[in-house]
Amino acid sequence: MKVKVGLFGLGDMLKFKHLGDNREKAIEEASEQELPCSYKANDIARLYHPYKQYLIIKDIIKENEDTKSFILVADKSKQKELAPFKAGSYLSIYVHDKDNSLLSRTYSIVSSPKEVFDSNEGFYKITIKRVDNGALSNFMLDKATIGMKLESSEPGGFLTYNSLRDSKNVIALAGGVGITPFVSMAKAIVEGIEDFNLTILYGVRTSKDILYKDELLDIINKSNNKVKVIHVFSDEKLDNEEHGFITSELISKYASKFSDNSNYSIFVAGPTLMIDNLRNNELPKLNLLPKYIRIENSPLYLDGDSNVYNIKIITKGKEPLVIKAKGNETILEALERNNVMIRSKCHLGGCGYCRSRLIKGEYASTKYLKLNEVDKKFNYIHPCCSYPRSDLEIEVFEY
Amino acid sequence: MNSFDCVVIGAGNGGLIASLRLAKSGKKVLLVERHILPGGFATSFSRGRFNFEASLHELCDFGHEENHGNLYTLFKELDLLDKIEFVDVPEAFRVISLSNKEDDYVMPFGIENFINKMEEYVPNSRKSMRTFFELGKEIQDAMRYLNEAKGHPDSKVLMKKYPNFMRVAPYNVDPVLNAIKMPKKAQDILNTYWSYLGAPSSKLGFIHYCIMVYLYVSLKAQIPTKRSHNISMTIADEIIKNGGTIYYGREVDEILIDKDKNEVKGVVLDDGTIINTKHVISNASPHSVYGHMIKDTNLIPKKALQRANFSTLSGRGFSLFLGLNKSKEELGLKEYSYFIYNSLDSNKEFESMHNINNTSQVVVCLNNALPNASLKGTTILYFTSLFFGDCFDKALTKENYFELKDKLAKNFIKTFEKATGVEITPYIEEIEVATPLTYAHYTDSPDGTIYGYLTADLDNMMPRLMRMYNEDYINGLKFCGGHAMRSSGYNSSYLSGDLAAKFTLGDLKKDN
Repeated sequence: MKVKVGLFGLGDMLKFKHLGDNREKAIEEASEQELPCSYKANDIARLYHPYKQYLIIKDIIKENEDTKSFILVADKSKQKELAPFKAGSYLSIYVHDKDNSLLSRTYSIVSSPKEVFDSNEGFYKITIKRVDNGALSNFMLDKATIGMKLESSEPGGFLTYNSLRDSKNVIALAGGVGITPFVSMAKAIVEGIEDFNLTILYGVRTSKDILYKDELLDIINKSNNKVKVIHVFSDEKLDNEEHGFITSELISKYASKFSDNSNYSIFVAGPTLMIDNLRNNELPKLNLLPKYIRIENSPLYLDGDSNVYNIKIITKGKEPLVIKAKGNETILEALERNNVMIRSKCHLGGCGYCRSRLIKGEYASTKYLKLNEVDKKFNYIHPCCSYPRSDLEIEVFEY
Repeated sequence: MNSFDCVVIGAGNGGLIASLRLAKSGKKVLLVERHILPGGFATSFSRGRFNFEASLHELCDFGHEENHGNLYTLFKELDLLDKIEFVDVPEAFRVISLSNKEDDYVMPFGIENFINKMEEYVPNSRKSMRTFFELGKEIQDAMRYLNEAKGHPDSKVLMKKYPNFMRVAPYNVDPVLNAIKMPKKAQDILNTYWSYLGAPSSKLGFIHYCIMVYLYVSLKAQIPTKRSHNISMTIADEIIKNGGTIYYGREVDEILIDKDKNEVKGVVLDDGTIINTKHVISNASPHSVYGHMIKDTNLIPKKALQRANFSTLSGRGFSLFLGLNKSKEELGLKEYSYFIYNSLDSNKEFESMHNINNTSQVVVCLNNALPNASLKGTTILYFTSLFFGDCFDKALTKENYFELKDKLAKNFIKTFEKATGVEITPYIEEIEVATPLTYAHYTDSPDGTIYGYLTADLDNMMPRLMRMYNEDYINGLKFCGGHAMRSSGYNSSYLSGDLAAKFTLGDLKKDN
């Protein structure tokens, strides 16, 4: 076999020998200009996915006895703009309490995605309800003041609408403060950012517990029939209002009211008791495919171990640190109580941000833990949903 | 304490292998990775019931014990083989043209099978196809010789043993395929893999393309059973077991240069920690290193800037990941990889990828290689495409990103359905879209490019390899990964990491 490309094979051979020299010449002729230090895609990537956001409480609104909303704006000395988000997302909020220990929890964003770009000053609004013994909720309700600085994660979460995946008709099942992601969605629909029909079945104890009553009324009126809210009162009987808990029958009743009643998606946010009841008892009766059910879980707690353990923390490039951890607090909480800040986001065990390496010891995780096979094999854990069950040694990746 | 023989920037495929080679050679190596995961693009992620592969379509140059390639040899040398399970991909590819319905071809692995199938599709292509694969074999042998000659090949040996290699080496794909009189239609089908290298047949070096096709067809392609994340995690674990150090979640902010000696003297991490080292292997691109890691730009030799400016940033990544709630049988998805183009002319295709509305795509149905890649009754499908130039930036604003992702996803899915006649939209249970912005976010690759520098003309793999001994501009600073001497792709990146480590080992010997 003899392959010739040029007219003369020998010329090709010389050409080959000169290939390197020709490259060298071309490099010598290239520009000497400095290389760019930024690129548009990389800059916008940093806007959408900041490692950490630096925020200031601009306003505090009392919603009811044990619920307050917080308007959060960018701390301009640290960051110019807020990370944009899809309606239904949450932020993980980090604050330092008086002992300088760190507290973090996730809260759904209740403001509209558009309000991040507000020409006056972009903001997020979050709503926090007091939780018995809830460290961060009590701190925020009792001690947070206007002007206080706090930090947050980038927006995250999967309780967001996707027109390729979800039905055009969505029934939202909200319990208590679980209404917040759906308020954001409803606003996004009115503003034309999202386009789907949203019927919210809003479970509350009594009419006094309704959050965003006027705001939701206003949204409904402006929504061109796309947004509907049905209150479901558990502890109060009112004329022409639903009473009891959210059941499959109730869901079917309102699902049949979509003008095109072919199918629907169910989005759920609320307290664990409500979610468990829906997941185990009510939703299975509807025979929906898994793709039509999206549930945002609330954190689970593993009680029952009141022992105190030692956790040895390895951070590469630093001296090891030993902290005390209780058997009834997550490893993440123990780290934060000792002011060790690692990346974290969902606080449920699914997003992988807090992924750390277990070197030694026993632990227990909640049922929401999601860890792929490979990470399991290499002994990785998600501290946000894992509790110590012996002394531990772990490697963490600090902020 | 804070002193290392070598600091490796970035735990992408190149950086991982470079670190492992150095650690296994007894060197004190520090690998710094900005993300908390190793792998760069080589990773996996979960949505709902699905565990998606983030980037790998198929490994090239791997194979099996009885018939294997360089990557297999490398993994064997580094004791990785028995730690990762691989399976074969079922067929070479199916290629479909949107503009001509008759252009729909499924090609098998195995040289004889491939040639026979081509003859079926394109009568009288057999002779030229055979020549093509014979060239592939000669190129493989010649490359092995060049590698052994370490930059000083004997031209008499080359002329005597590898004359065809020498005659085709200076040319791009098109002129050589024309010279061996391959029918145009056979060229079009054969050129299907062009998008794996991200440059059209008029710009892509023949050597590079020919050897890739030869390796795929002769060795078949493999994938790991537990996603590329398992490869990355296994290499990272081996680095640590061999005494190496990995800092995750940390970035190298600055490379310190000794001005008088024009040599590396250390790096500064994002928390201000100074690490002393005389050797840096950067998996981050020269664009990133010269663009922001050397703060005093006067310390960057003019030639280094020229070298970086000589290259063009390659394709910018777009991927779409779908978890479907039907089995591949129910859907009617028979192939593993679908190459769907507007036309089979790679040069036209390349031009059209400068347009944001272009939907040319390579789609992998993972379950066709790994039946248990997802739960029974479900299927994983992932799409990959490239945007060239600034069309993505022009379409993107600060406010419209989510909207843009939805629009692009819809377009790509529509094209797949049209080309294959398979309806998938009603069965989407999970969907995730990765754009250049996503790749920029996870790796900080400039512009969210995923293929390093464009392998075009004098920046093809062959000229890069020929000059790799001469393109050090700052002493102690080497590059690996898609921007380096072997260009992009999993196997090239892994092999480039090994080369960079070996060069550094040579330099370390001289230090002593």
